[in-house]
Amino acid sequence: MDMTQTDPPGATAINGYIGRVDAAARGLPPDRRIELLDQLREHLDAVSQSPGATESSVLAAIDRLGDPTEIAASEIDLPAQPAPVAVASTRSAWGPLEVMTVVLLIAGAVLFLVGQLGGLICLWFSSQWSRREQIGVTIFVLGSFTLAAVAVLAPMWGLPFAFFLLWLFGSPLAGIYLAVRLTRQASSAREDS
Amino acid sequence: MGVDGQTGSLTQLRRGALEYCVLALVSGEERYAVDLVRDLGEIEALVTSEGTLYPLLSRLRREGLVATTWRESDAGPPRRYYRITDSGRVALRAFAEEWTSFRDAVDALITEGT
Repeated sequence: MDMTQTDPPGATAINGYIGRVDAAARGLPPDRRIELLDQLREHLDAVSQSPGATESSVLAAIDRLGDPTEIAASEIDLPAQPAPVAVASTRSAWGPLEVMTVVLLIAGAVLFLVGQLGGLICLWFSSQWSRREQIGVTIFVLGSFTLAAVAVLAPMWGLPFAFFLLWLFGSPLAGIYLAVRLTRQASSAREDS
Repeated sequence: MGVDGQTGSLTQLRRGALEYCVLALVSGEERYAVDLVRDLGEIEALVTSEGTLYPLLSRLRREGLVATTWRESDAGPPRRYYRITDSGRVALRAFAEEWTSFRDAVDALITEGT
């Protein structure tokens, strides 16, 4: 560490304190540990760089921040984010509605409109997929279906007939995508718990 | 319940209420992190050491109840500011209602018992 005349007051004490917190926070996930160290350093830098700061004002600030072990422990003790855990546990199940969603969307390749619309309705009634997934899949399925219909019914609009394939593949692709998402969420929820 | 148990449950109570006090403090203007922590640290009934407030602020941010912004300062490094989010306001309002009935119920029982 470079100690020169230009160092603000208390630089050594600050580095020593941050080092002790770092050691005490060894059990934390890296991102939380780094964030904690950044916050504390920012706090102490603000003190040491304020006008009229002295070695003793920095030491007093360190004292008020408190015991490194206590700070690290408070990060560990904090309730482990109940919201995501609750979400994960409700998201882990394949119910009848979810099976219907995937089956109908895949069947959309052969069931004209019934598969697409039925699948989308089930998708919106299910609480297992995120709102973003619901919106994305709806736009994709309806969009590809519309493009396919235009390609078949109005060839003069210049859409290549190959767009017809979207009708065959758009809806099943969406079904497979949703199935993969749900299975991944279910397995990551199990790992979390 | 021994003295240790009493200290433990008071710690839990303090910790539970503290996060809403933080939300209340950032519900007006956004606050510079260092000032916010110092102001809270002055309230001895709530805060044992200023350093433990930073993990709390991080958690509130991860839960989307507060948001942070970096701002340049005239002197020194950029500063981290905290402000409440919409879901933070919802949480604070819900707690405020719960708290009033909770406090009244506890007050009534404790007054009777002493």
